[in-house]
Amino acid sequence: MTRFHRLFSALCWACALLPGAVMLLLIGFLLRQGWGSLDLHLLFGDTPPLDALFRFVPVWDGIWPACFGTLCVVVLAGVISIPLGILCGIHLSEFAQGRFRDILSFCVDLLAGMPSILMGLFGFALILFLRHTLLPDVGTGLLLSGFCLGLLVLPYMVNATYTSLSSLPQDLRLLGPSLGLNHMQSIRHILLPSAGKGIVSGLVLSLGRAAEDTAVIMLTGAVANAGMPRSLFDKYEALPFYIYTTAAEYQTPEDLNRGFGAALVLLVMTTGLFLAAHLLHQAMERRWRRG
Amino acid sequence: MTAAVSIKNLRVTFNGAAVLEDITCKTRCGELTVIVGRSGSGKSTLLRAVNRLNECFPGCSTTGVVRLSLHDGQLAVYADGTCPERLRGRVGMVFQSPNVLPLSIERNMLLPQRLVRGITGRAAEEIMRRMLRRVGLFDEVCDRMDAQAATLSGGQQQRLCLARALALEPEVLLLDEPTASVDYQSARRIEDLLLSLKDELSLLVVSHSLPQTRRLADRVLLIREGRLTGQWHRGQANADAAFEKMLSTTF
Amino acid sequence: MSAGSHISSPIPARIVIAVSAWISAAVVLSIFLFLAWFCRPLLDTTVLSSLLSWDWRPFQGDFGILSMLTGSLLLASSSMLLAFPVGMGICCFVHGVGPPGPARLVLWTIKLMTSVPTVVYGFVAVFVLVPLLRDVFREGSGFSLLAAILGLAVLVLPTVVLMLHSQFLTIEPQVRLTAAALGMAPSQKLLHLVIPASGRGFLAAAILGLGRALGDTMIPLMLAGNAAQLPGSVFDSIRTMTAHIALVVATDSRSLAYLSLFACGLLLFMTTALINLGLRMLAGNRENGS
Repeated sequence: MTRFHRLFSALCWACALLPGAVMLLLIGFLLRQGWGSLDLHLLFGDTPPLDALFRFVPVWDGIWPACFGTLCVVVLAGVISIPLGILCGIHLSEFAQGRFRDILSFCVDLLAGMPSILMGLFGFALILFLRHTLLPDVGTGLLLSGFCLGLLVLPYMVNATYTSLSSLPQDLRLLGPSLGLNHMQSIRHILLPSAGKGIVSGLVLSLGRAAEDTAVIMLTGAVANAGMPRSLFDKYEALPFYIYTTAAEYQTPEDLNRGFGAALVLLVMTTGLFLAAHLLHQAMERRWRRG
Repeated sequence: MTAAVSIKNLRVTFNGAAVLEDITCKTRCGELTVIVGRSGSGKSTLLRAVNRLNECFPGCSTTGVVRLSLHDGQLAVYADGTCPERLRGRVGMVFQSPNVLPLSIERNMLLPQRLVRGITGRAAEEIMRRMLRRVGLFDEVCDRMDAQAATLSGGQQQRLCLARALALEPEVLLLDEPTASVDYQSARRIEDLLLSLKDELSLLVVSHSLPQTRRLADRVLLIREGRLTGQWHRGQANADAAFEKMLSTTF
Repeated sequence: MSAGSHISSPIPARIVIAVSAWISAAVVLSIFLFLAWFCRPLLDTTVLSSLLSWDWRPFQGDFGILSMLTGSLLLASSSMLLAFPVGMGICCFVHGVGPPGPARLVLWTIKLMTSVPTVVYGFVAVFVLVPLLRDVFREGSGFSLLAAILGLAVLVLPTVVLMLHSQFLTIEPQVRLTAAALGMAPSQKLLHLVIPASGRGFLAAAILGLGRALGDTMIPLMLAGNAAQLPGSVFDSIRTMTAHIALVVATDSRSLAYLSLFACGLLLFMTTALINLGLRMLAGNRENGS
């Protein structure tokens, strides 16, 4: 081996060490700063947890409202995007043909590449538009954020459904017709159940993205001190936005510690969803490799 | 005469399952050795054990001794200090299906010479022309050396692979069913070529055909379910009868 | 549709599926229409020329967005210049330069990196990277172009690596045995066979990474300082179009400020569309070529 190839190998080793170093630094730093504040006090402050959970007693110095807000927008985003995404994926994989298929898949790709701030701007523009036309009193809030986040993750759900369905083995596609099922029945009873784990894995991953996105919610109704939302049109708090505002304008060391705690909670949440998606995906792959 | 390849107690496992077990044999310089056996018996694995190519597959583990006698002395294939790349530069290999690199015909011949042996420029081109003539390909491709190698026919591609291996001037050449995916004419050409090569280097050929084995072999190794179950040599007593007897069960 | 059609009638289900597919397509169109609708005043040339200027001083009536545009382009391209070679190195490590065990570990770490929220990267960078830059270079507050470049490079690295990895996967298995049998070292195989054969895939990875870098909001918003100016050095503060949108919505400004926001939005949308068209053409060419 020449010196050049030796140098190349050494550079590759150096590059390969970087991701591990970054992740260790990130996780180590968060753990060191935030580990001490990880307790019920971080979530609920001085309010008794059960009161906060079941009687909606306001929480002033904890991150529970932010967690709850994030949970709400993720659920809303899921409700909007999961059915739409799965159906669109089925259409793309099983029915769409020719030019329409090209247009549709281009739109989905475009949506997937769209910066999330644009989705937020879209929501913001929607509210401006509604104010000028039909509903002069409408404002940003939970429902709008959920809607925009739903649109943001919609393409991931479409692609997850599409790839899971179209990567099924050819034999399985022939099984339905060979049993006398029509196309719709074959999709419902054979293809969808077989692709199920792959689809669910994609859905879980998409929900993780909805939970972590900050740019959309900061334009569509997340605020720093809203407490618990009372309706779908209320302003709300959210974990990623809470982390962002803490970094920008924290006042006291306690604020900062809560910020580290919140960052850890969000990180655990998204990596947890990621691992779940990963395991589901592996289970699906193993199943088809065994045949 | 010294042994060209000597194998002792060779055992190869993939993910714990033994593919070859307790293989001990010797081949001599200037001989063409044919390895025969049913598909899945481990004959390709035996071939790949000689240039440590099994290590390119996941979960492989090899024990035992493989020695090559090269013109500058003995080489222990599995010794700690043996660099697999250098070993494979001296032990050429041709595969069952032609595996041209996704480059032009010329680059297919010149790139390995430059990378593996450090030969460039006129010297490399000289070797390229000589080897292409040797395999009878030069006249067919001399006016389109810049064309993609994949545009050649299957038989031409296989001869190109052979020329590419010979250009590295190996002392042992391994061929894994070299004629299995080419037409009859090309197969006979390659067989004649192999016979003409055996004075210069040691050849190990995996074959799937009885007529081919009869035409080529000075020595036959019969592999069955990962074990060496029979050996035949052209010089032994009653050679023809022994050949029929041993191989009648295999083909 | 013969024997079993009385069990479930296929027609309505098909219609529901098709309609929901077209709703998804309509979303993209409506985003474009909304942005275009709010950008109508741009058709007036005086308004347009006031936006296409270098100064952003909303209280004196200057609403130029050119410095944001430059900031976006500068930041995205320099972070890609950093992330792409590193990503290439990681990919080569995974495909043969490194031993199999560590290679799997590195790839897994890269996949894990995709699950870290952007805001968490930004948060940690604010408290680790920014003070570090401030102390090492002793110049300014540390919230600078350099901080954003480093942060964004970490953010787009997994995108680049995974894209390159999938490209390597289409070529490397074809030549692995041949290259090994010829006595080539893994680094020789990658440098002389795999990398020359995957130029188009590299272009696709670069374009995709550039798209992500251009579209990200949180890293520039949290790390780049957000001064709307042309940077004189990497230690100066900059503002990107994405951060501009977030900042203007947060601070209630006057009408021309809002217009600048939608102009930035429209520019971003166009860039995304162009990037997608480019990727599609690359993919199309590849299908025709082989």
